[in-house]
Amino acid sequence: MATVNLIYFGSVTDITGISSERADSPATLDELNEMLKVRYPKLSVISYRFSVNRQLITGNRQLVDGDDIALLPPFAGG
Amino acid sequence: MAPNSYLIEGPVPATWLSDLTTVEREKTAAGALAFFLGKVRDDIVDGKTVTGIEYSAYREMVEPVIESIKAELFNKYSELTQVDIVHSTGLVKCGENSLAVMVSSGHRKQAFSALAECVELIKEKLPVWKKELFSDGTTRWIG
Repeated sequence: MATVNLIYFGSVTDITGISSERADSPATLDELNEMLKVRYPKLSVISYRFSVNRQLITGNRQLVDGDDIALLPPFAGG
Repeated sequence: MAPNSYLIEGPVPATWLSDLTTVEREKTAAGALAFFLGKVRDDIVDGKTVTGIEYSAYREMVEPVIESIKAELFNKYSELTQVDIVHSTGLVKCGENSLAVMVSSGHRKQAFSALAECVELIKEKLPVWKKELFSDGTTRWIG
């Protein structure tokens, strides 16, 4: 269990209704993702990636206290 | 929020380019400056006209991402002398600029190539999102 900072962007904020929150997280990113999909079921129908401490993450990863975890829908700059 | 030199609140002013060319005048090794301006278009979606775009960014991630884009370009293009990038956050109305990029290089070929590649890398990697605002007051997230 880790206490992490969750940060939401773009269309994800419409689903969560907030732009950030602190949360008790399971030990891994995959488990956190499953927990978030239970808390916010509409996450299952959109596309997003994770960053941990401002690094894009592909695959699973162990989480530790204080990690900044962002849910990033597809980028749309320009 | 920490200030971020790559982000600007509202549209990118046209003076951003002229200010840079003044700075560049001192850098006599560069023989070519190439610019890109991205503007908000008045697209029509389902019969509704886009009046503006509300941009949001992951501010703390923008800086390391742009630094890595610049490093990639400097690695690839040996003649490159400067890369400058600024992106809007907040409201940008139709016709206004939301992205400006300037590259300077020894000669024009690398300037054009590096500029095009820079804009593509920004599109692919910059953590920025946009919400289209329509004339009837509705909105739509892109991405």
